[in-house]
Order: sequence, then C-alpha cells, then structure tokens
Amino acid sequence: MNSEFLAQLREAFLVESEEGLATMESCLLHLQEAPQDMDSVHAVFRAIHSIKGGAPTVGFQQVVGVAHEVETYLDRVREGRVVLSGVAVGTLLELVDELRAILEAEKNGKLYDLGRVGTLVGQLSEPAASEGDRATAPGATQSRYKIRFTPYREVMSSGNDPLRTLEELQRVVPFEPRLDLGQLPSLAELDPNECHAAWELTTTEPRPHEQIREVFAWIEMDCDLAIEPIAEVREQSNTQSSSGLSAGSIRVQTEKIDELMNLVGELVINQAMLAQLGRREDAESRERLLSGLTELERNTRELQDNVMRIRMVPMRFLFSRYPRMVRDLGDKLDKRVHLELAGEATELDKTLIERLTDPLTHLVRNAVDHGLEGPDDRAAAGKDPTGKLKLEASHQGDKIVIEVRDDGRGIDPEKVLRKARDRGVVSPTAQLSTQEIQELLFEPGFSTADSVSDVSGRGVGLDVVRKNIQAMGGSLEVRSRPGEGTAFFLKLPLTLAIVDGQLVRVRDQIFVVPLLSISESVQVSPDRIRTLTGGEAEVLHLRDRHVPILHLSELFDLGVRQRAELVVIVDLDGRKSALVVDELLGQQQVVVKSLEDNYQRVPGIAGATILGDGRVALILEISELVARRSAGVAEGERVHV
Amino acid sequence: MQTELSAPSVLRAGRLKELHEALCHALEAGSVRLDVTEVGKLDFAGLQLIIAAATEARRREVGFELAGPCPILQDALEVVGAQDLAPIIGGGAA
Repeated sequence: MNSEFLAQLREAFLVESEEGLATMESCLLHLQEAPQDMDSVHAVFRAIHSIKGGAPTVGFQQVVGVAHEVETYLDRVREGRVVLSGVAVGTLLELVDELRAILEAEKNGKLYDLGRVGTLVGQLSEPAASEGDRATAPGATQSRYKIRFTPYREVMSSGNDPLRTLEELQRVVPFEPRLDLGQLPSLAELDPNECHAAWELTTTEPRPHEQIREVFAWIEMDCDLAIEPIAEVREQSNTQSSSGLSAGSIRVQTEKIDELMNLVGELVINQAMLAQLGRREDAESRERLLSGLTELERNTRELQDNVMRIRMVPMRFLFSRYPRMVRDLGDKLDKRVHLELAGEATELDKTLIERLTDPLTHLVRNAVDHGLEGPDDRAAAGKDPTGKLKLEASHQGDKIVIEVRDDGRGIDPEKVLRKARDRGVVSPTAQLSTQEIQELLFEPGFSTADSVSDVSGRGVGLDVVRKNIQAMGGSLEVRSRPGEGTAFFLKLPLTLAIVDGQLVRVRDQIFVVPLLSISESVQVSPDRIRTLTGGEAEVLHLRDRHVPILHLSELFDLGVRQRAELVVIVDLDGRKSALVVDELLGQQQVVVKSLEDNYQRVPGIAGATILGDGRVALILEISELVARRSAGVAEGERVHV
Repeated sequence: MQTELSAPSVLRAGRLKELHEALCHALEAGSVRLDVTEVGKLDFAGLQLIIAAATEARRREVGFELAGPCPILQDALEVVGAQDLAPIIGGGAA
C-alpha cells in the first residue's frame, strides 16, 4: 500500500471513527435515561464494531485492542448476560474519551499510555458495572432468536453472498426463513448484481448468542442486523435509525468545496466585468449583451446559492457535544442540570461552526459553573433543584442567532458595579444603566465569580469570547435578571465567504465596509466635530453623543488627514465609531478573498475582493479598526473642548 | 405461447446478463420453462434472478416452470425461503 493511499485511508477512517464515537456518546447518554433501550445498545455496538473493523487496515493496533474490549462487553449486554448499569455507562463514556485520545496519538504516530484503559476495562467486569448480572449456568445463556437480516444492495460487490451466510447459519442452527421481497424491482429493472431481499429468520433450537453472531461476522458491515432472543423480541420500527446520519447525505472534503467556491467567485467577477463592458457598447449590441448578462447573473447567483448550501452544516454537529459536557460538569460541580437543545437543524457555514466551538463552549461552561446554582441554593430560592440550560439556534434574516439561556442566579448589577469601581474600570461616581453595567462583563479580565474554578478556567473572560465572535463578523450581547437567569445572544453572519458591503472611496483606494456593521452614513458640518484637548483625537457630536472619528486615510497611510465631511457610522455591540470617507460608491455583495493566503495579514483588513472593473478593494475588519482607534475617548463620554 | 430456455451451469453475479435478457424477452411473449438441470454453481445473485423471473411471471399471469432436477438450486430456494415461489418440477432435493 503506498503512503499516499494509506494517508487517505487513515483520513477517512479518522472521520468515520469520530462519527462512530459521537454516535456512541449520544446513545450512551440516552442509555443512562433508558437503560433498557436495546436499539441504542445495538447502535453503540455497531459503532465500536465498525471502528474495530477498520482500524487494522490503517495500522491502528491500539484502537483494535480497546475496541475489542468494549465490543466484548457490549456483546454480553446484547446477549442479556449483563444488564447495563449507570456505572457501566459512565465507564463506557470514559472509554470513548480514551479512544479519542488513542486515535489522536495514532494519527501522530505515537503510542498512547493504556494504563487508564486497563483500569476502565477492569471496572466493566466489576459487579457494580454489571448490576443484575444474569450469568448463571452456561446453558442459561442459550436462546432461540429472531434475526432480522437486511443485506445492503451492494453487499455482493464486496464479495459477500447472503445465500452463503444463510447456508452457514443452517449448519449452526435450524431456522424458519421469511423472505421479504418488498424491495424487489420488476425483472426488467432488476440489476442482478444488487441484493433486494431481506429476511426475518426464526431459529428453532437454542444456541449461544455468540455462535449465531459469528455466522454474520463477515457480512455484518454490509447489512442491517438485529439478533434478539425470542423472549425479548420487541417491535422494531427501524433498524437503521440510530446511525441514520448518513441517510441522504454525502461527505465532501472542505478543500474541494473551497475550490468550487473559488471558481464560483471567479464567475461572479467575470460577470461583473462583462456587465461593465456591456455598458460601453452601442445601443443594440448593448441590449443583447445586457439581456444575456441578466441570464448569466441569474445562473451565477443560483450556482452560488447551491454551492453555499453545500457548505452549510446543521448546528446539531456543534450542539451534540454539549449533553455530555453538561452532564460531566454537573457531576463535577454537584449540580443538577437539564439541558434543552432547540433549532439543531438550523444551518451555518462549516467554517463558522468550527470557529464557534470555543466561544460557545466557554458560554456553556460559564452558565453551568457560575450561572446555575447548586440544588440546595435553588431549593432555598424556591426554584426547581434542577437548573435549566437552553441552547437554541435560529435564523433571523441573514443572520443566525444562538441563545445560551440559564435560569440561574442571574447577574447582580450592584456586585458588578462594585467590582468595576474597585478595579478602577469606572469612576466611583459614575451612574450607569443596567445595560451599561452588564456590558462591563466584557471588559478584559473582568469576572464576578467569587472563586476561580477549573471548570470555567481563569483569566480568559467574556472579553475574549466577544472578540472571537466579532472576528467572525458577529456580536455578543447579554441580558440578565437577578435571581431569574442570564441569556447570551450570539449573532453571526451565515457565511464568511460572501459579504454584503458598502463600497467607499478614500483617496484613490476603495474599501468595502460590511453592511452588518453600518448603522448610518452622515454628512458632517464642521461645527459638529470636536478636537480633544491636548490630542489629535476627534469626536463627532451626533444626537447628544460623542462618536470617535477614525480617519481611514491616516490608518492606511493614504495621505494626511483631511477635514471630515462624510462619515460612515459603524456599530460594534453598541459602540459606535465614525469612519471618514471621501465618497459612498454603492452597495454590493462581494466574494471574500483571503489576503493572508495571497499576501500577508494586514491589521484592520478582513480580506480583499475584486471589483467589476478589475480593481482590488480591501474589506475592512471593523472590530480591529475600532480596537486601534485613538485611546482615551469612549463613545458617549462628555468631552470638553 | 411457451418459451423454453436453459440456464447455464454457473449462475453467479457478473455472469447473468444473457439469462436476464432472455428471461425478460421470453416473459414478454408468454410462459417460460427454464431448464435448470445443468446448474452446478450459484450464488444469491443467480437465485434472485430466478426468483425475480418467477415473480414477474405471476405479475403477468403467465406460466413459469423450473425444470429439474437440480438439488443445489432446490436447497438454495429452501434456505432462503423461496421454494414456494419457484418450485422445481421433475425432481426435488437429492
């Protein structure tokens, strides 16, 4: 096997394993609530079985060993020899974590220390992990079975043959077959190399479960299989449901999508160029050209929309990590937490989902650690001892809003203000509204937690979370009522690949200001501008507030400062700044090209785009520009001139 | 009208095209009698083709006979539970 092919196989195996481990995790969490749900046991078994089956091909031997131990235990559960206990579910969840760590080590060519795995596997065989262990005499483990055997259509292309499997089963145990030909097409439409049959097989003599399962060992990866003791046979509506993520979906490498996205971007640019050429032609040809261009524009936009949709991933992929995390945090902090997830089908650009993970995780940890009270405190406050945490995603126009809401103690404004005064963040006499006090939470290093815990960490505060969200073109707001709870609202654009922008001219340079950041554009009369005493900084007097002025020409070294006559007011989480521009050129959707990939990172610039006339326009990164603005003037402060 | 066809000795995936086409044409014309005495090797693909032909004949309300004996086919039909769908005439299990 050449190294490139092996690398591809490993990549595919790692992706599949991560999906398998995620399935295991979610089913194990479900089993904690419903330990009798054999469908979930089967789903966990199938996932670990697939991981075990694929690992030898890519040389991940440590994975094989651990997966085998987990599989063996789960098989005992499937056979009914062991009843799954809450302790065992916890141990299995820990083994999932260990498998993740082993995969990471194997990926990097390192050997993982299996000490903890040995302990966990040992725990699985302890009595506490197998409450109600049913193993008695060897004969008691034998049973008759109802076997639902549905080979996949392509089963025969992998060398498997359902006929051979049934003949093998016949050698092991007599059975009565019930053939289901419901999926058999007409003779003319039949592809003889595909399998369209399914069976329900009832064994007529008792046998050990292991012996029956062994018959299907080779074909198990190519079929849906359920082997259930006759006494425990229940109605099974859907044997595929647990791993149904793949239904109707396709896995596409992000790089390939990005390539496609680049091509579409070029197409958009070409279209814009042609549109400009068309305006220069004589009347008749111009009309035809414009008509064709209208069509081209429609097709291009459609193609763009379709490609964008490929990039979109449901929030489920992000949310799915939190039930486990919240459960573990609750255990660690002795808190009871009920997590509710809503809007999991809401879609967001894959890149944004990846970048959203850390900030959202921080907010969830904060909510459990600092937001929700312990059961005693809640009971004393007349609340349900179990705290509620809700994660909800929804689309609002061209944005996605993610809400992290808890029904905990809320934010005490007096406490926040006191702390802010102690730290000199605000003057001792400053009078602030509740909203303004809550905004103080986003000041660097600010925390109202009475003690530092290893759950929420220390030092990294909400300022970093907000900064990360702003870097994605989004915003973060908080609303809280003391005693009732806190809600964080995270707003993000649906994608970073395309920006709706306002084109502005500053000297001979064109910039794009993201429309999401703009609150208004204002023509300025000289008497509205104040220069701060002893400084270069200017502010614009706008409706009884003072807004710091940013001279883009100065910031980007385009020449000396000129008098501000036209400004674009940008709003970043309620903090306004006035960008001085020479001309407003119009609004359009622009395709973002990375400046970092093609040149180097430039502070204050989010990327570049190519305009219809071939010129390059730089897209402003408003959060960075605001951070760079002249120090000393906060929006809204009174300024004496 | 009845068409008489003979099944080849190997009825396995990848080697069924001719018989598939012949069965399609013959069943469009009417009843079919398929001689299976030569069949010596088969897998589920071959078996499924015979089952599909028998099902098609029922749908068209035309006759479909498997002319044996052919123990290997008889056993295979029984193990998958299709012996009643496509009974072999002229011989049973060996």
